[in-house]
Amino acid sequence: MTEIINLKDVSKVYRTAKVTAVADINLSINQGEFFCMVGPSGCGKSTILRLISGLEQASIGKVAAPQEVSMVFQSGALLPWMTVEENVSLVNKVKKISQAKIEEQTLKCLRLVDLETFRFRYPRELSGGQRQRVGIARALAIEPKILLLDEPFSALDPVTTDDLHQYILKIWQETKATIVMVSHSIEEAVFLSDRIAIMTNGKIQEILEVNLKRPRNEETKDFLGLVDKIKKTLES
Amino acid sequence: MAIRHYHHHYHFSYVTSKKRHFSSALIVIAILTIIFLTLFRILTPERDVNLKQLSLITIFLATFNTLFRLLIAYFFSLILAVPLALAITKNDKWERWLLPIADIVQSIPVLAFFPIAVLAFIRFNALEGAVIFILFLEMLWCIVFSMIGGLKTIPKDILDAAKIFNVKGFNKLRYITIPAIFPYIITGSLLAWAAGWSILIVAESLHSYIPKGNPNTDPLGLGSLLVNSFYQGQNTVFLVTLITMIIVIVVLNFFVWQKLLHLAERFKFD
Repeated sequence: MTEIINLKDVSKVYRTAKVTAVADINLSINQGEFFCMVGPSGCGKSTILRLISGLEQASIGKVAAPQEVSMVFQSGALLPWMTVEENVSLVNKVKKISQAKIEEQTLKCLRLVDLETFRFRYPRELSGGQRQRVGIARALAIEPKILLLDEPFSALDPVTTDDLHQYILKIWQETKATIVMVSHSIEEAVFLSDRIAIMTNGKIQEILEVNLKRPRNEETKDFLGLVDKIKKTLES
Repeated sequence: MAIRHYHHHYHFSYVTSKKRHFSSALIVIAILTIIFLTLFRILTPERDVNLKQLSLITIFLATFNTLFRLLIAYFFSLILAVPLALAITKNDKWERWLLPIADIVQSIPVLAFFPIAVLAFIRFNALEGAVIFILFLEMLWCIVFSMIGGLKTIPKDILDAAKIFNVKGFNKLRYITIPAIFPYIITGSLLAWAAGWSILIVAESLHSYIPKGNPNTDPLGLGSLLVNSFYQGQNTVFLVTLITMIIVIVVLNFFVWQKLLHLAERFKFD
């Protein structure tokens, strides 16, 4: 396994708010891995994602990650004045690549999330799940090595969330990208990930391997056992 | 396969080009209007206005003159407001310094600059410049502060997405910042034009600021017509001018601002 992300003794302090978001983080994520971080609000999960993405700089320690990082946001972060197609193609429009290549890449990514027929619609004309799929297509359009998911399903209903889980797994398998996801849902983390980091108070308490075969069944004893174990670690 | 590709290509370019054609049309109309009004003004030099025998042509000319001045003042306000608002909100440090300065400058009544502006522009025999300058000062801050408000409401996720996807510099301005604050630019512009109309009467009747000035030295416009007809007791002229001004404002509101406000809805975040 080739390591693609490495955080060594990383701490992040927000000086104006005098808050230590994360402290002494040591983390290594392998290429092609589906890695998930779970924990209560404010435990530092999103900060780690922002450090990996380069949106934040570590106060102490070193973060090593490739440049080709993409992100899916909780809100979707779509531009309401652009169509689905324009939202997805924008990320390549700012690069110096041909229009033909941009169109090809945009349509390829929209096909991956089954939104090819919705490409002339505006975000306001889509459901929450469809918007999130546009966000995923946009993130994939730059052909990232690492795909960061910041609680992308937390605002969606359970049926849509299940649907999107299948899309994410399909995309992960097809693109072979490394996925790092932040989630509030332990079940979601167990269903999707290879490894799960359990976080509290700005620290990683434990990293668990999910040795369950795919496709995973949320009602099996092993699945439920793992969910319970994570819950107990978080409670303790 | 070739047909399919053509079909896709056609649709892809159709959506973007339709938007581009629309914005290009607006720019062309704006440029043509400015050229037309400039030519109109050059070809019809101002003359002494006899308020007792006021013709419809004079009212028409006064309306165009006023609109011309407001348009030019608005154009310069908008051009300057964008970099000013962007500079003020560039980062916390800039904001801490520039926002109070802008706040103090905008709180100085615009008419305080009027005598200085008139004297300065008289030196260059350009009274028209003084009127436009006053209108510009009155309009500028409405747009600047509205834009600052807009810049501060761009969602953090959108700004983060711009960083992640490397949308920066001019591209960020073109694809994200300007569209994101478009509703605020429209609101600011609406307020700016309202402020422009309200200061117009003073701005156009500037003869009292000119040594040995008389009403005939005022640049012809709806504002100066209103003031001078009032002081000369020409009630019919006053009434006609007032009605013309109201009609122009209502027409502008109906055909420009209402449409733009409606369009701005599309640019709002959820």
